[in-house]
Order: sequence, then structure tokens, then C-alpha cells
Amino acid sequence: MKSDLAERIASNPDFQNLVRQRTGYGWMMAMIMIIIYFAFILSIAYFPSILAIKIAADSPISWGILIGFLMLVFAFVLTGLYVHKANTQFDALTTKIKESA
Amino acid sequence: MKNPLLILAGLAALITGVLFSTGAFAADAAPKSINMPAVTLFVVFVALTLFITYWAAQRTRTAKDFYAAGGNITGFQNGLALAGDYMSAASFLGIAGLVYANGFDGLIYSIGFLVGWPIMLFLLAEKLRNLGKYTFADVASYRLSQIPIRTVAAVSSLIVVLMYLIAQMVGAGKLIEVLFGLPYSYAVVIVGVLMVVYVTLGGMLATTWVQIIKAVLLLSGATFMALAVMYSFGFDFNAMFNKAIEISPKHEAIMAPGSLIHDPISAISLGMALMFGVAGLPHILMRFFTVTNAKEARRSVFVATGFIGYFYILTFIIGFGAIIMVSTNPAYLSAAHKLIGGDNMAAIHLSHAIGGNIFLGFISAVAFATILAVVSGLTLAGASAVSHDLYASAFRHGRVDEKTEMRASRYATIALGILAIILGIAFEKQNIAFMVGLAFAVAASANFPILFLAIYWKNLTTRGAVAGGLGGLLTAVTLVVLSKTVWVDVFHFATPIVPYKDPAIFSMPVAFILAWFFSMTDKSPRAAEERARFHAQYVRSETGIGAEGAAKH
Repeated sequence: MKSDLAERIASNPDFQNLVRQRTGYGWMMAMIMIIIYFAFILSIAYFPSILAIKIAADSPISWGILIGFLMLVFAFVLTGLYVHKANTQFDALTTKIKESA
Repeated sequence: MKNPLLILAGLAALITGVLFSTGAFAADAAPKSINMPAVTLFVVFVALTLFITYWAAQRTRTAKDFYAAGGNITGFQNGLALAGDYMSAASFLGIAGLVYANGFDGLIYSIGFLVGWPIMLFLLAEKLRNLGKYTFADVASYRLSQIPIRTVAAVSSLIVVLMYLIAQMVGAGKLIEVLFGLPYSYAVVIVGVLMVVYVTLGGMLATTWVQIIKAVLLLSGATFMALAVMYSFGFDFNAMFNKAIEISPKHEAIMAPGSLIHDPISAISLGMALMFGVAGLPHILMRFFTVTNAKEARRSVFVATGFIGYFYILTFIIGFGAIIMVSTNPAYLSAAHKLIGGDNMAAIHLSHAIGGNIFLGFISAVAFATILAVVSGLTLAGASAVSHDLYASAFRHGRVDEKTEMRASRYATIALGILAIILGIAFEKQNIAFMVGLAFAVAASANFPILFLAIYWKNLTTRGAVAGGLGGLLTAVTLVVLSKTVWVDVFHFATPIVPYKDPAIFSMPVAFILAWFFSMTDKSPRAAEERARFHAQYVRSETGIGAEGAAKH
């Protein structure tokens, strides 16, 4: 990319807006995933007996199994949320920036 | 490559001949007789993939066709192909076997393997697509010095690819020995020859479609198995778990964390390797350059995450199904009451318990197809590191025409194929359990830090990236060699020197700290230029302006 074009885009308020929003959202989502995953892993290391507790007195299913399943679903839901926001909000801004470039 | 059709026809005839004529060898190789439905279905799969390769060969003319399937793969197709790359025979048979033996602990691995994908989407996928061309080294070296960065990236990529390849080849040989009654070395040679044919003739286009077909077959087969298990319990999870708890020798313990994770250091270290390793696997990263733009790259991660997550839920049900339907049936047990062929055969035996010889044949053929598709993707990634990064950019300084570069990549593919066959045979009797773990550790400690810092950190210089990449790579390899998995299990020393099996908790910080230190202290004029070039890279990575477009077909 030519540096004058890069300069012009970088000084575009829409660009700064896009980068701020997307960077903030992406890092927030990444931190949510990282914190939840390592909380899960550490609870296995430190409190395995808590995860062995059944979710109900008459149920064979443990909290560990339920949380594990929810983690698989949650990872997918997070990617879905990000893609939705990117398709609607971020792409509109990107198109605007490209048109004015 | 004047007559790809002729080569393919000859090859098909050869493989069919080998597969159907092995009755004579079966007696001394394996006790089991040849499974005709499995062999027939496998031959049908090979014929179909060779036809696709022929179709793809006619559409593979330029380097962009060869490395990136012309950049015309859709997000959904690429998502399926990414899922296919990831759903290897190891994750299908291995995780089902782990659930079969340990219950809940198998789920811990599945979750670790999945959580890297959202991270890849949030932090890397779109920027990778906007900056790269064919390999992730294109992105890492975008504003840095080409020769050193590409050399480091290619070396660590080749280590990852070879570790993964050996694990797949050995797995293929053993699986086929049990399933088809074919001698180990035959199986390794067939896998090696077929992957070289797919990649040399059909490039990324053939590799992608082989991967997509296999992903659909594997997902269908696993869905059918899980549904059959659930059907036998009237779709009542409580009934299924109660029965498994009653039957399993571990009883209630299969529903709770067991011995897989005991100390926090190992837990975090394994978690780091799995979470950040995905974003450093060269055969995964390469797929982001096959789609039209950043939007499709994004969609492909969404699709891949969905299919992989769904697949892990299936393998969990399959593992529990095997506890109930396989572990009590003497037909599947050896004299010592162990599963015939080991715990990894749990899913295979379950397919027989569900659908008899025909369905066993189908699942066996799918397992073999899975290995073929995964090794093809790995080989293409390894060959690209050699031809695009080492030969064309580092050795010839980019002064090489497309035809020559493509020829180099085909020679590299053939060389990798021969190497994979030799190593596959050499490692037959070795303990290879550490290899996939090492591949993820190196990916997380060398490839991921360079890529991440090159994209996000303005002050990264060539000197810092080389120090960080090499430091992470050497630390990861050294720690694994000194740990129990290699020092004791392979070299047979009495005690390991390093008490932890997974190195990432040490090797990832080493990579980041070295990259930081050697960049910050780099006062050379080259470093100043590299920092100055960050601005233009940053604008392109965020907007995609100037990014590699789709081929005009």
C-alpha cells in the first residue's frame, strides 16, 4: 500500500472508530474465552470433587459433564456473536472507509 | 504432468490390485481376515478422490491455484475443510477411546482442542487473510527481513508437519493392519503414494475437496453412531449414563475428573498449548488464503467451530456407547479382557455392534479416508514451506518464475512423501504418543508468537522475531525431550529430568520475552525501517485494502 494512501485512511475518523470498536470487541471476546477455559482447567486441577457433584439428586449427570458440554456450545456461540457483529457493524464501516479512500 | 489421467488410472489399478491380493499376506500379518465391505468402500473412496484430483489438475495452472485453490473457496466450504483437517483419525478414534477408558477426562481434551478456534477468529483470522498470500510466513515477514523470518518459520513449520505426519502414518499403518489385514508397511506406502498424487497433481483444490468429502462422510458416520446409541436408550441421557456407570469398572468415577490432570502447572501448560497451538498450525493457517476475503475467512472459522464442537459431542456419546455396547461383549475382547486392538478401537468395535460388517466396513473406510485427507493437507503445508518460503523467497530472493516455484513445490511434495513413508516405517515400534503434543507445543511457542507480534506489535524487528521464534522452538523441543514422554518412554531412562509433560507454560513466555528484548535493544537502521513499515501494514490488516484478491476465472 502506498504510504500516502495509508496516511489518508489512518487519519479517517471512520477508520479510527472501526479499529477502536473491533479491537475492543475482539479482545473482550478473547479474554472471555481464555478466562472461562482456564477457570475450567484450574477447577479440574484444584477442585475435582466439586465437579463430581451431581446436578440433581436423582441424576447421574455431574456438574463437570454439564459444564463441559456447555463449554463446547459456548465456544461456538461466541464465534457466532462475533461474526454477527462483524457482518453488520464492522463491515459497514469498512465499506465506508474503502469508498472514501 | 502431461497425462495425469493415465497416471491416476495406473495408480488406481495398482492399489486395487494390492488391496484385493493381500489374502496371501494376511495370514502372517494379522489374525483378522480381510473385511470386504471396508476394502470395497475404501476403493470407491480412492477412485472418487482420484477423479477429483484429475478434475483439480486441469484447474491448477498458476502458483495461486496450487497453493490457495485460486482463492475461490467459499467460507462454508473452507469451514468444512478446516474441520476436516482438525478431525483427524487421532481425534476421532483417540478421543472416543479416551472417553471409553476414562469417561469425563476425554471431554477435557475435546474442550482444549476446540477453544483455540474462537481465539483464532477474534485475534488473527481476518488480519491473516488481509496480509497473506500463500503461507503464514508471508504475514510474519510482511514488513520484516524475508530470508531470516521465512527460514525460521519454515523450519518450525516443517517440525510441526513432520511430527503430525509421523503420528498419522503410524496410526494409519496400525489401523489398517487390524482392519484390512494388510501388512503395516503396505498401508504406509499406500497412504504415502496417494497423498503425493493428490498434492502434486491437484494442489490445494484437490486437497480441499478430498478434505470436504471426508469431513461429510465422517460427520455422517459419527452422527449415525451417536443416534443409534441414543435410540437404544429412547434418547434418554440419564438412562444412558446410568447404564454406563453400572457397567464400567470405574463406575461413578467416569462422570468426574480422574487422573488426566493432577497438578495446576501441567493443567495450564496443556491448556496453553492447545489454545494457542491451533493458531500456529501451518496446514490450518494456509487455508485462510483459499477464501476470497476477510469476511469469508471469518465465516469459515464460525463453520469450522460449529462442526468440530458438534463432532466432539458425538465422540463423547460414542465413547459412552462403547462402554455399554462393546466392553461387555466377549467378541470384542482379548483373553486378558482388554479391547482387541487397544482402547483406540472402541469406536470401530462400536460400529460393528451397531451395524454389523457393513457399517464396520463404512467406518473403517472413513477412518482410512480421514488419515489420507489429513496427511495430504499436512504435506501441502510442508511442501509450501519448502518451495515458497525456503526456495523461492530465502534461497532465490524472490527472483524465480511461477513455473519453477511450482516445480520446486512438486519435488518437495515427493521428497516429503518419501520421508513420511521412511519415518512411518521406522517409527512403527516406537512410542509416538508425544508427537501431536509436541506439534501443538511448537506451534504455540514458535509460530504463534512470531505471527501474533508481527501483526500487533509495532516494535517487533527481524532480530527480535528470530530470537523469539528460535527460543520458543528450542525450549519446547528440549523440554519435551527431557520429560517423561521421551526421556523415559522412548529412551528408557529411569526418571525424567523435567517433571512436566507439556512445555508451553515455559516455552511460550520464553518466545515472547526474547522477541521483546531483542526487538527493544535493536537500534539498527534496518530495525527503524521495519518499525516505520508497520503503519501501512496496520492499515491493510484492518481494512483489507491492497489485500490479495480472488483469481479472475
